[in-house]
Amino acid sequence: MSVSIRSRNLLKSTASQSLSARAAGDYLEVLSIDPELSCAARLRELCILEGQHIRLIRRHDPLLLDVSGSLVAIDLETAARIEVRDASCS
Amino acid sequence: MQAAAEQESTVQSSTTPEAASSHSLRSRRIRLGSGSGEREEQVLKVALIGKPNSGKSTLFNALTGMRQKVANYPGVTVEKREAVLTWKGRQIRLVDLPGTYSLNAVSEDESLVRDLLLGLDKHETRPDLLLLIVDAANPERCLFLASQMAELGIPVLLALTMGDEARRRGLALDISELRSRLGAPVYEVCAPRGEGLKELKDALLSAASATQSMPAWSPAGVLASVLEQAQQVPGMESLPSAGARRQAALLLLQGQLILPAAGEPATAEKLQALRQRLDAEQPQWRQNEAQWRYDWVHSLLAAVRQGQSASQARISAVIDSVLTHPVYGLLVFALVMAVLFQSIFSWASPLMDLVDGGFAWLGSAVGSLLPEGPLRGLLVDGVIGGVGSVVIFLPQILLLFLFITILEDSGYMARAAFMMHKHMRRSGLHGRSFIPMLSGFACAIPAIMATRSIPDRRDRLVTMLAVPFISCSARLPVYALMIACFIPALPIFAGFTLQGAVLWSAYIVSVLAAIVTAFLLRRTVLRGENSPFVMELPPYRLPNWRNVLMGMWERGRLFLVQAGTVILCLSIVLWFLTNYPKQPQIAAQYDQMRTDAAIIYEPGEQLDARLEQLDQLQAAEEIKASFAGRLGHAIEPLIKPLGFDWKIGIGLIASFAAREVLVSTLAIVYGVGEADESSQTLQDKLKQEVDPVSGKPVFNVLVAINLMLFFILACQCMSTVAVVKRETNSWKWPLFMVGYMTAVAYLVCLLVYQVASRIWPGLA
Repeated sequence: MSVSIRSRNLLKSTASQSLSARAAGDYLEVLSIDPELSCAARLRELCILEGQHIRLIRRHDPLLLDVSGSLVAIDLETAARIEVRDASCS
Repeated sequence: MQAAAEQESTVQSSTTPEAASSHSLRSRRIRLGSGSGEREEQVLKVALIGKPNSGKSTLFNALTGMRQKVANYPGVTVEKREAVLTWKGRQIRLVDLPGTYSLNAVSEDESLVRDLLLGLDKHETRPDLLLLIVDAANPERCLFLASQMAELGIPVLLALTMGDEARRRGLALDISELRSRLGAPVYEVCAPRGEGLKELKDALLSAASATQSMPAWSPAGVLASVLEQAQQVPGMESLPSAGARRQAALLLLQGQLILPAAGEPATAEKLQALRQRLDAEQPQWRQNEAQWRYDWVHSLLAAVRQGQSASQARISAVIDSVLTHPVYGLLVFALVMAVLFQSIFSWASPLMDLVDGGFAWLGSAVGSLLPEGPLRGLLVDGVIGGVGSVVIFLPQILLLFLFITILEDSGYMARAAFMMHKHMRRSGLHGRSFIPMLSGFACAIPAIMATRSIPDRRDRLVTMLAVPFISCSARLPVYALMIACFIPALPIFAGFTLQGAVLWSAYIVSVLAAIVTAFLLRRTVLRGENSPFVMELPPYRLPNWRNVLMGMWERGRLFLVQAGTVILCLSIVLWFLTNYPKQPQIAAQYDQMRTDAAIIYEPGEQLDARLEQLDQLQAAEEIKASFAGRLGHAIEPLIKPLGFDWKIGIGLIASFAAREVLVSTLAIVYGVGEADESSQTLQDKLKQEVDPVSGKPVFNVLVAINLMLFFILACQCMSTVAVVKRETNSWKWPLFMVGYMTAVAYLVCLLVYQVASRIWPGLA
């Protein structure tokens, strides 16, 4: 299932990448969250959800994100399962 | 009575039929007074709910003051804070629920909130009203929670907190517009200054019976029909409202086993089929609810938010550029931890000495009032001694929680966990495990209590089982005695001596033992996927001193009441083992010797010295003949291969009360009387002790090192066992801990003694 969602996202934007691969300072749009990720629902409750814009503040593990004006830390493993693209692409 | 009946009828006439019927079920009466004159009064149950760091506890403290009581929720270790207050003749029972983001629970605390609100809690009734805290400076996630809560069939009242902080950032919320768009009451409060509390309490009385019209999420497409089908799961029918049933169905589809039936194969299969249908026909179903709620929140905020705010994240990020910097951040962190460690380790000492002295005085005062006999022994040595062994930890616990609460309230604790996560994860621990591990250097008891901040059950258990290996302050007297006696003060390097290096090594070995334990547990009995690290970092704030002091006191009180009960019982058992059976012939023999001494010596120093010596010898004889002494002899064949004789065996048994008891027990066994680790007489006795069979000294360098190793690795602390029992609500894990630690200690000591005594026979 996660493969098909990823494939769809890749079709939408060639710039789609995992969040863990992005650089500090990047302003990004969340494209998809791996449905198998156990904390997927918690991420969405924290407003890290599809279509939302976030800024990557710190690239070291754990990553630091600016989400709607709040700071959210997530580990690299989790970030690797979140697909994003440049917010300007949307 | 009449007023209560009128209120109830008002409630039923003004709420929606569903809310009214559930309200009548929820209505409770408490009996006041007794006999024929008793009166009944309806109690309004109000639950405070909010996301972490939204100011919920500050508001609860401001509303309830010292009336609050802290206990555990039945069957779980989650703290339950509640208070009953009377306002305008009506009793209000306020319950402070643990912080949560939604009904989707990821920790024990959050599961409790979910079960209570969905009506799944068997011990607690649903509240009549939810007092939902909205952080005005950061309202998005609070309003997300509000939109979910509004669908549960429980009236909601919103309290806006952090208004000052929002205004400082140029942000304000139009409260009347918010009220009208939400269709629910909204009140602004400033809990630290007590502003808006009267109005809020007035509103509590009326809000429970008010009609509410907050917009509700309406699932679209296939999800709607699948949710209907999921509501056929057995047990759903008992949920009190349609909203609760729909939320429960969604949680079941998300894989949360909130109903017992969901674990049954047939139901699990049906749910899996529904999930597969959704994945095939509506792949975005998992984001549907969150998407709708955030769209609603953002449109609501667009209408009610006034002014432009500087991003909270950007302000905090400036501070974080230093405090969470990979290099500077760790330096600041090391400094903060050094202060924390130092405070627990040394600042608590004068207070602990005071407590110790106080109990010694109490013991002697009670002892002087009672005649010699078993009752005096039980009260003085068993009860007062046992209670003293618990209360002596209180200064450390209070200081630890003072610092922890300050760090939590200021927002720094979340940063500490954030910075340490990567390093801790390598050994199978969580970022939040760091503070408990560090606190373990002072005492395992507050350290184990501090594991409550770890959300994942496995991570918390691993931390709880690893912490007792960390060298606590109670081990220090044992190390000090052994090092002073048997390790020479040879200079090694730049003023450092061999004694210092051995002491330092003891601490390093304890840390390594904790890390290896965590690593092994995470790969064996507690294996499983690493729990993800997802954490909202709160903004930096000045701690609220009322919160800090009340939190510190309540946690200390809870420790005394709950852990203390178990420790007291075990102390009495240990007292019995070291004092029984009584040996009248020994007492008679020493009484005769005292009489002889009084004839031989003139009253004065010589007679006093002889009488003191006889007291010490009698105590040594009596403990040898006691159950503990017999146990020491019984375990001698088992501990002989470690280099320990039966006298050390008695010390090992007695020191299960507390590790430092080893020193005083050895002093009794060797007839020295009262002594501490610095006693030259005790040191001389240990050095001179000879094995009657082999003629060799009982103590040597190897035995000393092995005894230190045993104390590093074995779980020689009943207080730790009691606290782990309390925190896990079962005997399974404390017994596992005792078994595991004892086995590790025994095997390591056996290996070290047997190998070292063969390679370096001179050491033994």
